[in-house]
Amino acid sequence: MEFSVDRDSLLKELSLTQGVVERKTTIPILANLLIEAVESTVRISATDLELAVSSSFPAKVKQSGSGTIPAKRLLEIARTLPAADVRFKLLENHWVQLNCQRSSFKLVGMARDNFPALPAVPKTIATLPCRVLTGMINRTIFSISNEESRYTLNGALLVLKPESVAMVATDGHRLSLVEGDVEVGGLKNELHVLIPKKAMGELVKLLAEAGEEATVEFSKDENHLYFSVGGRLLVSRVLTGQFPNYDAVLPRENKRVVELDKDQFTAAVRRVALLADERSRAIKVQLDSGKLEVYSSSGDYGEANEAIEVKYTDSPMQIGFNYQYLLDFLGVIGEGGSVRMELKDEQSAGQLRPADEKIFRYRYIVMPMRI
Amino acid sequence: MTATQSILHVDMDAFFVSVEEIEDPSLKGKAVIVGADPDGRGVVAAASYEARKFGVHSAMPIRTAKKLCPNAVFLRGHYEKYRQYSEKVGRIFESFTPQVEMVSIDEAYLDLTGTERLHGGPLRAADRLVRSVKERTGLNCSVGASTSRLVSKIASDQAKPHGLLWILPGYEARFLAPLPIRRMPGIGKVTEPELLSLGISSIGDLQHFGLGHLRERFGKYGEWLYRKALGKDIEAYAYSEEPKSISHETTFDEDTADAEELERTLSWLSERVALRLREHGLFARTIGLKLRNAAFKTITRDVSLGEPTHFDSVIFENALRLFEGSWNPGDKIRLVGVRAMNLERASFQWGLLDAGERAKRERAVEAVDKLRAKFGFEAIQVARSLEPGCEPKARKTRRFLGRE
Repeated sequence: MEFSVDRDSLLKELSLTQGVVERKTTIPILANLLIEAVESTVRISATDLELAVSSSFPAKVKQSGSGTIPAKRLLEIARTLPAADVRFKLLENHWVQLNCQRSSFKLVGMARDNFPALPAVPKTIATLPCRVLTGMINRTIFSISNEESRYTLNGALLVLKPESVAMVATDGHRLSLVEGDVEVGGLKNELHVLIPKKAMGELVKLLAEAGEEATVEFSKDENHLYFSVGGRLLVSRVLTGQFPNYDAVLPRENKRVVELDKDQFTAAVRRVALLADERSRAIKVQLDSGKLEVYSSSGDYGEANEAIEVKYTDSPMQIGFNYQYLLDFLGVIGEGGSVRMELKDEQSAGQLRPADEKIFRYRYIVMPMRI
Repeated sequence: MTATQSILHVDMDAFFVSVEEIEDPSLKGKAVIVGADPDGRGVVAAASYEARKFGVHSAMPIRTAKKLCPNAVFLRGHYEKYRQYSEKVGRIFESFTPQVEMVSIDEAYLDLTGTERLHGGPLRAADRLVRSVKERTGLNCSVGASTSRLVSKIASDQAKPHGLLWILPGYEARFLAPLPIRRMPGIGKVTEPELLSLGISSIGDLQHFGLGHLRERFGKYGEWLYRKALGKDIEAYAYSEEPKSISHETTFDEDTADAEELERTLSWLSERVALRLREHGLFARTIGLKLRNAAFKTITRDVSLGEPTHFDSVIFENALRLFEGSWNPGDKIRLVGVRAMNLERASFQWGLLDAGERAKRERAVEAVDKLRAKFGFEAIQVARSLEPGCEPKARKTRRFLGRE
C-alpha cells in the first residue's frame, strides 16, 4: 500500500471516525483504524463492535493495499502536520511510514486480518433529507436514558412512513416526540427501528459534514442499521426490545395553557436554578392570573425567584420540575419565538412545545417533581 | 464537638440468649448457643455466659462450639422476636433522648449532651436506663458513659455483664492506657501484629509512641490511631445517623448450584433489604450483589438505577440481572448477599411511564408493611421467595444466622 492525500482532507476524515475508536484497549486492534487504498480511493474505518464508521476520499494511489494504524496517534500527528501532501507507505511487519514535507514517522501497525470485518451494506430502504434526520436527533437525543438496566430506553425509536417521519425518546421521566410530514423516498412499508444513543451522536456529526441539503440513505438487516451519507457510512448494531407504548403517556387534558417568551423563560430558569437543591434540581413554577413565577430554594445556599408576565386566566397552580429537564428542551428549539406550557395539575405530566415550528411538530412531556 | 459531650454506649448482655431465656425460663442457667444447625457449617450467633465458660463465642464455627460444649442447648434462633425486643429497648432509649443511634440489633449510642437538668449526670441517667430496661423487658444490659463514642464503647465492654462504667471527663486517656491494643475498635488482625512488632501492646504504648512516629510509620492512619488512643472520636457524632447502605446476606447450610434456590434466596434477601429501606424512609440508587462460591472466591457487582427505589420487585430484578451476569451455572455458591447503596431520603421525581403502576405498588407495600409490623416479617411474603410445597414457617435454609 502506498498513497498520498492532502493533510486537510485526511484530518477531517480522521476526526469523524475518532468517536468510534475504542478507548479501552481490551481488544487492541479496535484502537486502530483500517486503511484501504484501491485505485484512486482511500477508505478508513473504525469500530468498537457496537458501531462502525467508514469514509472514503480520493487520493493518489501508487500501490493498492491495506493496513491498520493506531487511530489516536495518527490523529495527533495529522493535527500537527503542515497543510501539505501526506504520503503513506506500508512497510514490513505491518509498520506504516508517513512522510509530510521534511517530517517522517514510522508507526507500529497491526495485521489487517485482525480488524473485524464490517458487514456488507444491503439495499437502500429509505432516503431522507439530512436536515430532517438531524432535526429529529437533536430534539430527542437528550431524553434518552443512560441507565443500562433499562436498555430499551438506551436509544430513540425512529418511525418512518412513506409520507411522514417521527422520532421518540424517553428516560422514564420525560419524553421527546418529534413528528413531521416529510416524504420518505423509496419507502413502501411502515418501519420502526430503535437507534442506540451513541450511533445517533456519531450520525449527527456525519450529517453535519454532508450539509443540510444532502440526503441520507438508510438500510437495515437483521442485526444492523446502515446510514450512508456523503461518501461515509455508519453501521450500528440494532437495539432490540420493546419500546414503551408512548402514545399512552401523551397528555390529553392539559387545559391550563400559558405562552411564554422562550428566551425570557430560559433566562429566568437559568438564574433561579443557581439556588436550586443540587441533588434534586427541583424548581417550583407558580401560575397565577397574569403571572408565572419560578422559585428555588436550597438548604445550603438560599432561595431565588423570578416573575414573568403572562396571559393566564385559569385558576392558580403550583408544580415542581427538574430545571435541567426544562433547560434541555429550551436549549434545542433555537433562538427567539415562544413556548407553550400546557399543564393539568401538580401531579400530572406537563407538556411543552414551541408555539411556532415549521418542519416539525415537537412535543416534550415532563413529569413533575414532588414539592 | 466539645469536651462536654455526654455519650452512652448501651450493649445488651447475651441478647439473643437472654430473649430465649425470657421466652423459655427453663433455659436459665444452662449453656445455650444460638446459631446455625450444630451439624452444619454455620456459625454461632450468640452464646450464654455459661456456654462462654467453655470457650464458645459468637462468630465461631458452630461445629467447634459443639466440640467445646457438647451438652449445650442449641437453638436456631427467632429473629423476629429479637427484633421485637430490640424495638422495645429502642423505645426505652428514646424516652431518655431523641438522639439514639441503634448501631445493631443489640447496641446503641445515646447522646445525652444537654439533658443533665432532666436526668442528672451521666451516671444517674445510665443507672436509671439499666433499671428501666430490666424492669420493662427483663433484659440485662451494660453501659459505658464518657465524652466520646469510642471510650463509651470500650467502657461498656469493660463493664460487662450487667455493669455500668463512667469515665470522668479528662480521664479518657488514663482509662484506655492499660488496655491491650486489641480492645480498640479498628485494630484487628492486620494492624495488631504490626504494632506488636514495634513493641506496642497497650493503648498506653500507643500514646507514648507519639503522633510524629505514628504518622511517619502509618501516614494518615497513624494520626487516626493516635487520636483514638487518646479517646477522641474520629467523626463528629451525627444526630440520628442514616445508614450508608443496607444489606442482607445468607450462607447456605450446604453449597448450592440450584438456580431456583439461588433465585428464591435473592428474592427473600431483596424483600428484607426493601423492608429495611422503607423502615428508614430511604430509597436506594444503587443495588449490589455479593456472591461467594465453594472455593471462597467472593465477587461483588452493582448497578445504578435511574430512579431510586424501595420496592422489593425492583431490587430483586436488578439483583437477579447482576446474578445472571456473574454466576456460571453449575458453580456451587456458599453465600449470597443483596445490598442497597447510595441511599436518599425520597424520590422527588415522578415517573412518566409507570405512574399508575407505581401508585399501585406503593399501596401494596404499605399494606405489606402494616401486616408485618403486626405479625412479623414472615406473615406475608412474595411467592417466589418461598420453597415449593413448603409452608413459610417451615423454612429451613435461610434462618437468621449471624448478627447484623
